[in-house]
Amino acid sequence: MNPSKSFIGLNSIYQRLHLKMGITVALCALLVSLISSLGSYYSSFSREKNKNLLLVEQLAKTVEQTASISAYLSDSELADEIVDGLTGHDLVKNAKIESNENVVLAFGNSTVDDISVSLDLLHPFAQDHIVGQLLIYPDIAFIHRQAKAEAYRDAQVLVILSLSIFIITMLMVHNMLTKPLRSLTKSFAQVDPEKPATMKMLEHSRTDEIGQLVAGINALMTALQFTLDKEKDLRKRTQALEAKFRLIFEQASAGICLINKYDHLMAYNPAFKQIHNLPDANIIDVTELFKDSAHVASLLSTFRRESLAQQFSIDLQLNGSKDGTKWLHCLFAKIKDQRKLVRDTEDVVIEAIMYDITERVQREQETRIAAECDPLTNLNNRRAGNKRLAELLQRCLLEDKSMVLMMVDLDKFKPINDTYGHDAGDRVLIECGQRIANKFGKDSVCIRWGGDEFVIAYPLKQGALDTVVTIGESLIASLSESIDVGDEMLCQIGASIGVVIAPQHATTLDELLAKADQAMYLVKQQGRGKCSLYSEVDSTADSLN
Amino acid sequence: MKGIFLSSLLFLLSGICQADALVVVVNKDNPVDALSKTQVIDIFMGRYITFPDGNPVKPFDLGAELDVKRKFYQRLVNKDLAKINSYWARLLFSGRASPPESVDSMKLLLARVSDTKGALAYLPEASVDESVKVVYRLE
Repeated sequence: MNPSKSFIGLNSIYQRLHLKMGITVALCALLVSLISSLGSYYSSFSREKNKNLLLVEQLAKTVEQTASISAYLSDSELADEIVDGLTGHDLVKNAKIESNENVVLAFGNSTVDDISVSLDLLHPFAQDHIVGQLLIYPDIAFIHRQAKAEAYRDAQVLVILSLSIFIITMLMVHNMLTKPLRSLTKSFAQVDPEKPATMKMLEHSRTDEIGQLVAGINALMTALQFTLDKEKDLRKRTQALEAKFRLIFEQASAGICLINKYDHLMAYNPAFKQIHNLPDANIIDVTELFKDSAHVASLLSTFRRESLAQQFSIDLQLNGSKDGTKWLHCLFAKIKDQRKLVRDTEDVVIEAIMYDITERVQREQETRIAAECDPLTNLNNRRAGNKRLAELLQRCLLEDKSMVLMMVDLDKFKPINDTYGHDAGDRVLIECGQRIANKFGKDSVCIRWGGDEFVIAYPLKQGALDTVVTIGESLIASLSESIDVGDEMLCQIGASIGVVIAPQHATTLDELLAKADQAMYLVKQQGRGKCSLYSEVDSTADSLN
Repeated sequence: MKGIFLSSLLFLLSGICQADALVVVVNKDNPVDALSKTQVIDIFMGRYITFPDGNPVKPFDLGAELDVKRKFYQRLVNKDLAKINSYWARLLFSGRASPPESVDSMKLLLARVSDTKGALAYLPEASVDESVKVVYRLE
């Protein structure tokens, strides 16, 4: 395998590890070899030196006998022979044989050195006598050279050994450890959790630590894959669910919103936005959307406080819509936020669902109006009028006020119907109704009591009793003015009015009506076209008529 | 007188001791009366060529009577003849020292000792006569 290629394209962390290891081992090997070779050098050196000195001693021993004899006999020639023989030896620089009397028998030709191996020469035949001394001067320089060479060789061997061990170790480590690690790292680098296809198992066929590591990684990946799949599944389901809810929420035709404890909108759907024409603000107070904001606000706060109430519904009018008043039916319900604990009862979120009921309200109103209204004159019809009268009466009595009730009967009406037709008659009635309505204010109740009868009631101001008849007469005058019945025809009618005042004349409505009727009847009898206030005397007198 | 007295004393003593004792003898006129073992060794092994008093000495070996010779050297230096011979062989070419003159017979030896003033020889004790003076005795 091309070594250079194997180092290219690896992530730098691995490369550094390999180099670090290599450098460390190399340095250690170098250090070890240096120290050991130095140590070996010195020990080798001293060992060699001692060995050589020992050899020199042995050398002395070998010539001991002969040297003894030469000393014994003071034989210079023999001594010379011996010394010559000795100095010929590489290890020996110089040798000296001297007899007892310090007579030098033989001496080499070099200068004296300090270090010498000396041997006492004994009497050959009487071992207790010393006859002389043999001195050998080792060639220290030679010994040193030898020792050095030897030591140097040893050191060299050590260095070579260390280096070769280092190289072999490096190779072995590279083969057995770093190479598989690198291949593992490479295949692991390809694993990308976001691409499930890459998360396949890493190959391994080993049972050692690397194999275990790989097995561990595979197990982790399996677990991760499993978790990811589960998460994906969950997400899909959640998304599906969310889509459904979103559909409901977004597509609902009713406006849905969430209101927090400050009456601010937390969330709302498009329908809600459309209904309310929401302003462009971050915080919208929901109560401001409605006409009676204070009322809505108090409703909501009461609702929150009442722990038993879970929901309530109410029709509310919208605030300031350009195209007439809008009415909404609103359902407010408390919801518990499942995600967090509700700390106090006021800390609830209110969900509001509302839909437009403007039409219905309008129709209701119309219906009510229709039910209450005389279709022709737009005054109250009798039924509604009765109710109104009763209310007005009750109010006046409660407030200690007087109430005026006028019974108005039109004069000369029937001939118009006969003469000009019913359409003309209708026009007359309409006109009368209008004139009556114009005359009396909003405090009054104007009722079309019958075919050509009208009842008018209104509260009487203090001390305005005198004005009553005057008002009646003015009404009569107003009604007597000519009425255009169409086709450029004009006609004229009159009116007779009987007036009662509560509580003077009566305190119940029936009584009042009866007495008003009586008074009016009296007017009719007495020539019509007048307004007469009821009096006891007159009625009892004419009650028989 | 003193010499006669000593030699007769020695003679007497030799009579008391064992019969195969060896003695070292000199010419009877030799002023030397006694020698120590070391001195005997030194002379016979060639170290000295004079008596302690300075007179020249001439040692003699018994050449033919090898038994005596062997005994002598055995008792003197505790070495066998082969070693003694090799000793002298070593010195043959290099040393000044030379071995004692070898005499073939006891009779000749005695004659030589009588003739030579500085003679020094060894004999079995029994063979000693008046022409020689014993200066040392070996057991």
